[in-house]
Amino acid sequence: MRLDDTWLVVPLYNEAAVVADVVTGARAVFTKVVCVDDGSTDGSADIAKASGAVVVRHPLNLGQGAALQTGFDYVLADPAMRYVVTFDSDGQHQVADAVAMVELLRTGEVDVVFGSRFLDERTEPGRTKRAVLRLATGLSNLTTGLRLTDAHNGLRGFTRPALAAVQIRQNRMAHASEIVAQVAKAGLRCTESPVHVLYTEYSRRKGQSIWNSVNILTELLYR
Amino acid sequence: MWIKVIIISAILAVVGLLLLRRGSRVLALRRLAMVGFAVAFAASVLFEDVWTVVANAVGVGRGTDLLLYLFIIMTLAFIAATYLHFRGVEMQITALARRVALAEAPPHDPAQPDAG
Repeated sequence: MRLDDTWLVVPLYNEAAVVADVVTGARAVFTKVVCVDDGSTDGSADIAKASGAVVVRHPLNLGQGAALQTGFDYVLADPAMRYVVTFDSDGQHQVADAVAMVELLRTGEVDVVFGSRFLDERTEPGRTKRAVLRLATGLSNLTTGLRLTDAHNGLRGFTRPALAAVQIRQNRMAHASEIVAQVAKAGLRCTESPVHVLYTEYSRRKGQSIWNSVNILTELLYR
Repeated sequence: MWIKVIIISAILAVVGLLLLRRGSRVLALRRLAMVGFAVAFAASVLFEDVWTVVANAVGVGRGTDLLLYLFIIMTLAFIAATYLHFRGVEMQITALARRVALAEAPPHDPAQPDAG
């Protein structure tokens, strides 16, 4: 399959332990991978670059939402870009899931694909995590009018016109809900695609704690 | 009785001032309010009975209580104004950092699409 028209946008912040594997794995399929380094202090940017990714560096730490938007601006400047997939740098996502998203977009029937870890049985979140995600999904569906089965999943696919319609203003974690809201408002055709989120000891240690959901809610309320 | 009306309208006024986006009129009003507040406070130190008189006039028992209410309202206003100010600054920093990041990013080259 030709993937020269697809960019993988990977927000990167202090993932030196895993980013080399993530970039190498992604580059086995996707020729164009951009890591937006959000002011890492552990050399993640250099590792990503050595692994074959294009690295765009924020001069200071702004947050994942800001990193994604910088990545979007970067890939929109590539006239050859037709599809974009956002991919986490912590090793939770599977390259095969990203490929499936591009195939869905390539049919021309959808503009946006959201990853969902609840469409099949591969992902095994803990009970608390599942409950919090269910609550977040319910709230998100209530405010956006879309019917999704997952929220705050970092794996998403966009066509070029869809990406151009998104403008993230939430610098930190609330960007996930913001993207869904903007997609809904712009009337883009969207669907969900099953995603296997791999919860490793590493990702559990680094991942969002339950407390973060409070922060996300606050950020959404006081925008 | 009156104190409830006053406190609630004061909070609404603060919210209104914050919702009005920055402009020379809002800035001028804010500065006038600051001066007025400082003068009134200095005067009330000299004429300490004023607090009690005003408090009784609006239905508050003691001048001390009135002072506390005003203090809380001012604090809320300060928190809200500071929050909005920092949000604005953060958005400016984000725009600036993004420009820097993209300016330093490797250019897109059709002949060498995956240049690192």
